[in-house]
Amino acid sequence: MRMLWFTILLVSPLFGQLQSGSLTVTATRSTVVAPNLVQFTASVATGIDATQDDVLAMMAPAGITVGSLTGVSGTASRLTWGFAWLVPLPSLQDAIAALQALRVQFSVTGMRVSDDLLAATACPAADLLADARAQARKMAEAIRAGLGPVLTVSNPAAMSPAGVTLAGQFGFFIGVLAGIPEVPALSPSTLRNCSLTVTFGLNP
Amino acid sequence: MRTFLSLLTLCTFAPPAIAQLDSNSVTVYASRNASLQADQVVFAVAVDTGLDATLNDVVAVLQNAGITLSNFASVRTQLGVIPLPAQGPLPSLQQVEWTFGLPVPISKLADTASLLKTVQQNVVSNNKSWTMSFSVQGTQVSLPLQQSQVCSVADLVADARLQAQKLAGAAGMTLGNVLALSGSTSMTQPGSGVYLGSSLSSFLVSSPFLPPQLCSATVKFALK
Repeated sequence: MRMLWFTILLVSPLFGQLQSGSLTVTATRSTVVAPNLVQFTASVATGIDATQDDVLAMMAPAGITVGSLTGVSGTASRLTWGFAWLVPLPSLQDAIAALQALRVQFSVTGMRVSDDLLAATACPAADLLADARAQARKMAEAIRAGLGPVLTVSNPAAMSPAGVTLAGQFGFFIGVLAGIPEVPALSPSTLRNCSLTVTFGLNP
Repeated sequence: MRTFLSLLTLCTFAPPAIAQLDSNSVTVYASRNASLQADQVVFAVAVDTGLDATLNDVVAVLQNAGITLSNFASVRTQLGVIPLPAQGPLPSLQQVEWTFGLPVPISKLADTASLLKTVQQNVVSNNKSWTMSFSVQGTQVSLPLQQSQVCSVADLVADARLQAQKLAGAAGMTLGNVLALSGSTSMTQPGSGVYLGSSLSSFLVSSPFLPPQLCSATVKFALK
């Protein structure tokens, strides 16, 4: 019972409104991260008697494992095995060569940023704190108050996805100037978002 | 069981109840949108090569157009399915399409298009099996322009005060000092890639004023 009240008292401030005598700023910096993984897909057709192990053994020299198998479909006499996997950009030519050696038809369907690269992109805590302090000074000036010490610092980014690929349509073709084959539409940049929420004291 | 349900109810409803608005205060959220005029046009440049070409090979032929590795956007192929074991020769030539995003100032639209046409001719003449194409994808607000916009906190506080005065008046009270304030600040930096915004707009379809930049603040005033 004591623990329960303790929990309630701890949780309550999380739902709270602004604390009087404080100034809270959330500073965010987004960094554009270049894609580093190439997306491959392949489909392999076999007879109805082929097993998953048979197909995986056949595809193994290209580095394809059971984790890349996306599905199987077929008819009474024929099966189609679908695969999708990611390859680091520097290994693109090796992957293509391996697939060609296997005489497998494949497609490169696009690119993405790896989770590791997103995670490795530094979040500049000192810069975020400086941004928050600069903004807080402006806000304090606007109400003719002085900025006090830092009361709390929290990292809301830890509670949200580290990287965000901006959603939405990326424009329209407004004319192919060159008058030759259509150019694929560009995807928006992938951003690594870092945020810091800082609460300062307010000196009247 | 009844005790447990009572405790569960308490856990669910007590925190918000405890965190109600402070007495003798009014809290107001104020926001302003600042429309920015797009200052960049974004070209998409695509080069189709054989399967043996590397990204560095492609960038090398595009460097005269000011394209570097950081402009690289995507790569793709278009291939079908053949039965295994394969019989006979492999299907006809497969190509890899490398795509780049090239944002330039709107004032450089014609010059860049002309430059890309020249590079296009060179690519084709120097690499017989390669083709190059480009298009204008639309416009966007550049990072420097986005970051040059200053949110007027004083205006936001004035908006909030006006709104709070109305609320206070409705309650038969008057507005006191600011008790607390919250807001935010954000910026985007180039990093390892080139910035291609999600709000790219067409010259023909959308307003050139993009995107709305939201400035906001939450202000808590004392009530007297």
